[in-house]
This record gives sequence, C-alpha cells and structure tokens, in this order.
Amino acid sequence: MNNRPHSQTVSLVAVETIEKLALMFLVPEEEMSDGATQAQRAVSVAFTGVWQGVLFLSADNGILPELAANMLGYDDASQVPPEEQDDALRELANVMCGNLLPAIAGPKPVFHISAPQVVPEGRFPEVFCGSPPSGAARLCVDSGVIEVRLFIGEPVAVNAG
Amino acid sequence: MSVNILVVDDSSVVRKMIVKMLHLAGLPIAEVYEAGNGLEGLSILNEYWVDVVFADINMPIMNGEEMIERIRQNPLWADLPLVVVSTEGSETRVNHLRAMKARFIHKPFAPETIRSVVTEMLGLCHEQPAT
Repeated sequence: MNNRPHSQTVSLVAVETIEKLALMFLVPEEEMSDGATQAQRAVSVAFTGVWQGVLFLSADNGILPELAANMLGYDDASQVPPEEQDDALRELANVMCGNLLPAIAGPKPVFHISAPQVVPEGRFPEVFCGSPPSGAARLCVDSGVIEVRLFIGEPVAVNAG
Repeated sequence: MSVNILVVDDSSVVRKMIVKMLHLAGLPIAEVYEAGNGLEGLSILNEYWVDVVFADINMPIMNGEEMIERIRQNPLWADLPLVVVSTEGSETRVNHLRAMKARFIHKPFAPETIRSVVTEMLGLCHEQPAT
C-alpha cells in the first residue's frame, strides 16, 4: 500500500515550479557542491477547501541567496537581503501549493490558500495533526537540498443547505 | 510605442518578479507603477496614464476582484487591458475573472507568456527582444 499517494504529483509540481520560477535545475545528489549546507530555512502554507491541510517547503540555507536572486532579478546573489530570501521562499511555496491543489483535486474545487509563514525552528514535522505526509519530495540543486511535504487532513464538512 | 504598466500585488517580492519578467520579455516599457492593494491601484489609475494592469487576486484592504469590478464600472477604464497573475487553479474563479474581460496568467510563467499576452492585448508588433 502506498502511504504517500501524492508524492509523484508533489515532485512533478515542485520541479516545474523551481525550474520556472527560480531558474534552478535538479542535479543528482552526488553532484551537489561540497559547500552545500545542512542548516535549513522552512516555510508552511495552510489551505482550506474540499480538504484542509498544509504544505511545508524547506531549503538548505546555501540555496536561498541564489534562489532569491534568480526570482527577483538581482545580478549578485550576495546582495539579496535575508528578508527577501525569506520572501522568495514564501512565494515559491505559495506557487507550489497553488499548483498542487488543482493537480490533485481537479480544476473545479475552490481552495483558500493562506499567506505562507516561516517555520521558526527551520525544520518541518514528520507527522502533522497525527498524520504522515500524503506526498513528499526531496530535490537536489547544485547548492543544496529542497524538500517538500504535503499534509492533507480530513475533508471539510459542507452544509447541504 | 512605449507602455506604462501598473503592477498591483501585496507582496513586494511578487511585484519585483513581475517587473523582472516584463524586462526579460523585452517589452517597450516607459513607466512601471506599483501598488500594494486594489485601493492603491485605483488611486494610481486616477493619477497616471496606464496601458496595462497586472493584478493579484488575494490582497488586503481591496482584493483584485473588487478592484477589477470597480475598474470596469468606470467608463474611462471599461476597456483597460487587465491581466491577473495568480496561482489560482479553480475554473470557477478564473471564469469569473474572464467574464470581467481580464486575461489570466498562471504562475509560474515564462517571459514569453507575458510578452505574448501584452502584445496581443495592445496590438503591438511581435518583434523579438534584442539579445
């Protein structure tokens, strides 16, 4: 039994978003730069609709300057302020979540996606609200690892009247 | 012909991304105005000539849908080219926006997409940007 039924969709959407929005491309893990860092920055995006849940996105700290520079048009990644690096990660999560939900639920349902939040401790949970992720992806770019976890909770009750 | 553009989004990062894409698209841009919500967007429209508006949907104070409704209610702006840039995936919401004569660009998008939409809306010729 597949206990992460949406991992393939999570991976496909995450790769497309990273490539198109951040202009960063995947490499095999063994080809990552030696300087790849272990410390991570993480953000979460909560959503409600036919289901409720949360998407977590984390990136090694070493990725963030390049990611933000590519997204925002900076010529020199070292010039990107830390708050804009966080903003870029938040926007990446927002776009991923916005594309993932219709990819899983189809085009009809309407979801409300909350503003992405930085996860203070920098790492996200293995279990959220008692459930494991229903989809996860671990993606390597040259300067580090990006991880995505999608937690989907119980369907939201809809009043018939 | 150079065009004046208004970008309405509550995220300064998204506004920067859209401006970056506009430049990458090689469009003949004169002025780029930025607003953080629909109300600020309307204020800029009252003050400056704008050829195309790029807008988000979810914003505080006044969201994108309400701003577009108000724009369409004003005879001066009834045909103003409007482009909603969003991750919105619901057909219901997208069709509502299209009914108000707004074009829709789904994030993430390439510079070619923004170029294609703007040139078509403004009737600009499809010259390739200089490399």
